Amino acid sequence: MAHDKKVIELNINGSDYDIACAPNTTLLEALREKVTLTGTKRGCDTGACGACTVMMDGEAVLACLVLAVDAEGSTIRTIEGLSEDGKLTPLQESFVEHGAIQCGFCSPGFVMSATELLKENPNPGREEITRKLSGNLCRCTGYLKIYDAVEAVASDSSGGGAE
Amino acid sequence: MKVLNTVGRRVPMHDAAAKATGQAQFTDDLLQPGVLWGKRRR
Repeated sequence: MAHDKKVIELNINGSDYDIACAPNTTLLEALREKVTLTGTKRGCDTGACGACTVMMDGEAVLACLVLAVDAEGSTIRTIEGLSEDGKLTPLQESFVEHGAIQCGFCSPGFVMSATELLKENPNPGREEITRKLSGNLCRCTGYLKIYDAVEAVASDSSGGGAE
Repeated sequence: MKVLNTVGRRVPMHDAAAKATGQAQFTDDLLQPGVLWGKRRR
């Protein structure tokens, strides 16, 4: 049965988009398939793995659990919108330096979740980091290096300078 | 003994930056709108 599509307005990574979406289109599908921003990954599509984490109006959400029509008018930031002019953020640099990236499929989600964490608390402790990132799964099981990478940025910012 | 260039050193993963920024393409990322998923042969 055909569903009427609705055109929704989204600001994604600083650009305005009008996207025609069916009522059951998720924000994840809209980003990946309509805007072809494939940095946001489809892992489980059920809200269990965190691979599709994006910022919606500054808050980290699972894009597979948000209907595109419910995102109408919101401001979205995806992994593609974090680094400016191809320059990695300190957190992304830290992921690379600490070997926190293996197959890389979970990395965009982890980076988005950790970015939100560091925005809320620039200097989180280990326990806060692990709790915040508990919604992100890494099938390579590289959790410790990921936590190390986030922790290093936390102590960096408390020291007041980028490495 | 020859000096080793790689063994014992930390070597940055060549595609880590691309993966950290979402630029790396996985198989599921190669699908574009209008892509042909399959065709039935009778």
